[in-house]
Amino acid sequence: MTAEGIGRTVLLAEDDHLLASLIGFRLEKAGYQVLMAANGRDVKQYLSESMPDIIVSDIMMPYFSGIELIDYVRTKLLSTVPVIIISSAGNEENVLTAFELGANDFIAKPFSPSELLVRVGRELTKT
Amino acid sequence: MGVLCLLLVILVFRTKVRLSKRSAYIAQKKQELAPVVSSFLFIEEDADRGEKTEYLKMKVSIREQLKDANSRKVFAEMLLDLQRDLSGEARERLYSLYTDLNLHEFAFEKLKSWRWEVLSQGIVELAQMQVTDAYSYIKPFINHRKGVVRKQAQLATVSLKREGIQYFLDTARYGISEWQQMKLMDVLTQFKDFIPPRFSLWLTSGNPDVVLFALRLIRHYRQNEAGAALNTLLGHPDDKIKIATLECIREFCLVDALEPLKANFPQYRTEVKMAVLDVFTELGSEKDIQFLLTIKKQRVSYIVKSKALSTINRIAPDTVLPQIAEITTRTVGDIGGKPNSPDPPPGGMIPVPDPGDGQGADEGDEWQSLLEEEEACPDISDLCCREEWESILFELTGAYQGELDLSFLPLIMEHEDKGRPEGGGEVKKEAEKIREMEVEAAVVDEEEKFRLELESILGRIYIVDKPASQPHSSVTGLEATEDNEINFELDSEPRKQDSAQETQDINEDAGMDSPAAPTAYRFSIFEELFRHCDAESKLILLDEILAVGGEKELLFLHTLETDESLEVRDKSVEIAQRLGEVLEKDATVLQQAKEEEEMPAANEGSSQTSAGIPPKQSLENCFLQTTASTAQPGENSLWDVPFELEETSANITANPVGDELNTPAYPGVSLLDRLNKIWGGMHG
Repeated sequence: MTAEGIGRTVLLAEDDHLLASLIGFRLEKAGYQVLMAANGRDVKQYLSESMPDIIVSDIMMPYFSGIELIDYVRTKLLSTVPVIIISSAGNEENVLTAFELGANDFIAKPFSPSELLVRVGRELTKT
Repeated sequence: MGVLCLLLVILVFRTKVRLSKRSAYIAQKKQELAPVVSSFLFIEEDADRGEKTEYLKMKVSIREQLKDANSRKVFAEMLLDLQRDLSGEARERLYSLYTDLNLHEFAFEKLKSWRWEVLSQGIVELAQMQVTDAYSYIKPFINHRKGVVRKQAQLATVSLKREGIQYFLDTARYGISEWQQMKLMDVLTQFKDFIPPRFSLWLTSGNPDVVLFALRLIRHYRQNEAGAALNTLLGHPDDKIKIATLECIREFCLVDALEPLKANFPQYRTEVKMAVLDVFTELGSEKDIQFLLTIKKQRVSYIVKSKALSTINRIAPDTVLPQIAEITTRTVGDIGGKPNSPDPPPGGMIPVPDPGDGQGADEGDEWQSLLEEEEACPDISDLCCREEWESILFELTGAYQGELDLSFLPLIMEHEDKGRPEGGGEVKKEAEKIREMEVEAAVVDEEEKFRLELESILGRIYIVDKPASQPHSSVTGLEATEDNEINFELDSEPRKQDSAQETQDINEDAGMDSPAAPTAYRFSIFEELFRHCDAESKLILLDEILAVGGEKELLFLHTLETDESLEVRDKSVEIAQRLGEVLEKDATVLQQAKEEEEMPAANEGSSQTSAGIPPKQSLENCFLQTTASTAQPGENSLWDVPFELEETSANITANPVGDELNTPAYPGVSLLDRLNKIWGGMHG
């Protein structure tokens, strides 16, 4: 475990359990505290309790998509927490919409978990 | 039936339970193995000893678990799913884990299966995990008979090695769908630093789908050096290839191909012509406008003509403007013309705007002349409207002025509008022909014709009742009652009248002369017979006239005095004389019988007259009575109509003497029997 993410909380919203486990394992190995949510309802519940340091969310999720999550965080919660979107290939339109709503960064599948780790660190450095 | 339903329900339930258990098992297994996979993927080389020991233990544990087929299957699925989502170093580590655990061996085993679904699963697994060693094992399946296997093998061959696309284009024998082509191109685009081969080499392939795919790749990779090959492909028999070639020509701006396109344009089909016109839209210049204008004159589809016009306008804007068709009978006001437009010329014709104002004088004149020629040769729709209008005019105005109205004649003309005369000249010629035709016919006076017909009809009729001029004796006077009902009684007794008076009245009604005139013979039945028989038959009939004839026959015999045959003339005179004597005798007998009826009733039982002569029945005068009565039934049945006269001789004697018109001469004898006898005598 590195000291890169010590004391930082990452909310990971991904419905693919295997991928979420893999990303979460990588983030935890980097020292982050990872909160994993499998759908939009769990995300809302976590956000109502406490605001994480960064949100990493997939666009396509059940109950509450990543686009709606960004809109919820920016307009309802009025939070400036960094949000990184994970999109599948060919989903360019959704990516543009996410940026318009206030997303900070995006990463397309297939991606490298190491690259994601770098992007997370960079956004947290900005704040 | 109930047992079967129950069994089916049980089967479905068990299947559902089994599937649920399996999916739950898979989910549990994935949950157990996920941290293992993560650990395997993110182990670092500079990890401490504890972590490495942990890593080795997990590896041994995994190998033990993978001995189970189900666990192995789940683990392989997990790795395949992650392989789609990961890239870079994580993917490479995933591949290492896959091969270290010998999972690719199990995939190779699937390639040996005879079941196509297992075979295709193995191909997919090896291709997805990018096991390049499987290339030589997979490429033979490119032309597999099963479509699923074939398509997976094609994708695997192209994705595993860069030279796979060449091998595929060389060996593909089956068709390649557009979707498959797009997937293959997607695989090629994922190659990093991919140097595509010269796909023009495959433009000569015998597989048209290979040629199409090669054209698509040429266009995708912008291989415009294939211009010469593309020009050659314009003569390919397949229209799809021609259209794809034209798309390449258009993209690569191969202007050299325009001249061959012009030369071969009439040979192309409509779709290809449209694609050619698209090329001219992109690459055409003003010197091509002449060619495009000639397209309008050709026998081509309407859409091709429209496309040609739009192409002209794309090359030179506003060269061809919309034209309004010529209207000859409607005024501008009917059409709803523009309020600010100038007064229309006489005849209601709307002038066509002059096109080509921005063009050079010479070119403008040429185009103008071509446009005028186009107006002279209207399109099919204009021709139909014109023909329709002409037919309406013809119906309204009737015959052409100054010409004979021959519309009633069934003229068969070679004209296109089905016999309707288009011009007055043709009608005139036909009328002259008809007039000059020789007619073979007799002029018949209508009145004379009617008279002859009436005489023939009346000659066959026996007038029994009173003539029409006399009121019918059966109807008594009509009395009107207070209820406006007319009561009348039928008088069954016929009124007695003079036969001569009757004959005269009848003749007057028929418009004939007095009964003493020779025309009264027309009432004789023998007149019709004499008209249609020869001299010998006439001689026989004369004998019959003597036997059955009356006054009518007597009069008829007088007319035979002018017969052609001498024998007939002589015999008719003789028969007339003898018949006269017989009739006089009969008249005397009847008169005596009448006188006897007027005597007192005491003399009713007397069977003899005052003269001692028993009352004779008219039948006794007929010497043929016995022969007629002895005639066997069935003989000459064709002429024998079985009927009997109701009136007896007694009733007949109550009638006035000589009332030949009221009663037949021999009521008890069948007339058809007599005619039958005559017929038999005529034919021996």
